[in-house]
Amino acid sequence: MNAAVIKEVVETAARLIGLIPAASEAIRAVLSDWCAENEIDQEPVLRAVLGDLDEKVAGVDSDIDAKLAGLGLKE
Amino acid sequence: MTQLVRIATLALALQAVACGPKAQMMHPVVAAARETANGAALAIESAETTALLLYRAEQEQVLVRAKAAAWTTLQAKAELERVRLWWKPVWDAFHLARKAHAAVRASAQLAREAEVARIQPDIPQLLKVAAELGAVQDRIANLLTAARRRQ
Repeated sequence: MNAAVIKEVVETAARLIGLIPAASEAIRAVLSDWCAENEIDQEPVLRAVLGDLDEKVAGVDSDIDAKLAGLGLKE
Repeated sequence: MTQLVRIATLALALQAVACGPKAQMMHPVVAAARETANGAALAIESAETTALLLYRAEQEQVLVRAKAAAWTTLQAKAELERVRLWWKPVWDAFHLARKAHAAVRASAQLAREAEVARIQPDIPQLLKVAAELGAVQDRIANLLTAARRRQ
């Protein structure tokens, strides 16, 4: 499997999950099958697409911190 | 309650094992454990998504209050930190749930391999890890109920 194709799949799946968080489990299942069919180690692919919980929490915190900075509150 | 249902499912499967020929009746025990693990995977994933949405919403509410009441940045940061600290046990519970889920999957796999090899599977271990998974799922459900009340 071409690395560029894998990268494209990972990025597309990550975008989809970002747009439709409730579909993450279905996307995970599709990716798992796709990896199996193409004899790709699924663990790094799934991790790249889904991220772990700590990363997701840190992502929320980062968004909120950015919004706080944009509020223009007094120091 | 969900924990009781899961344990009851496994107990019924065990009863079936006790009542019939080993080679044929061992399968329901493993199947019940695998079903528990599969159901838990979906439930944990779904609960995680809900938790992250609630977590974001609660912090966004802080920003709205900060803007409306003209807080200083320091005040807003302190309030956000208070929210983040409250949520820490929730994230810890999710980490525990992932571990408990992996333990159920591993135990079910071992039990299946034992079944194939015609060795007695470690049923008490299977019940133990399934109960632990059920307990942590119940804890997550309670934490999310508390989180919703904070909104």
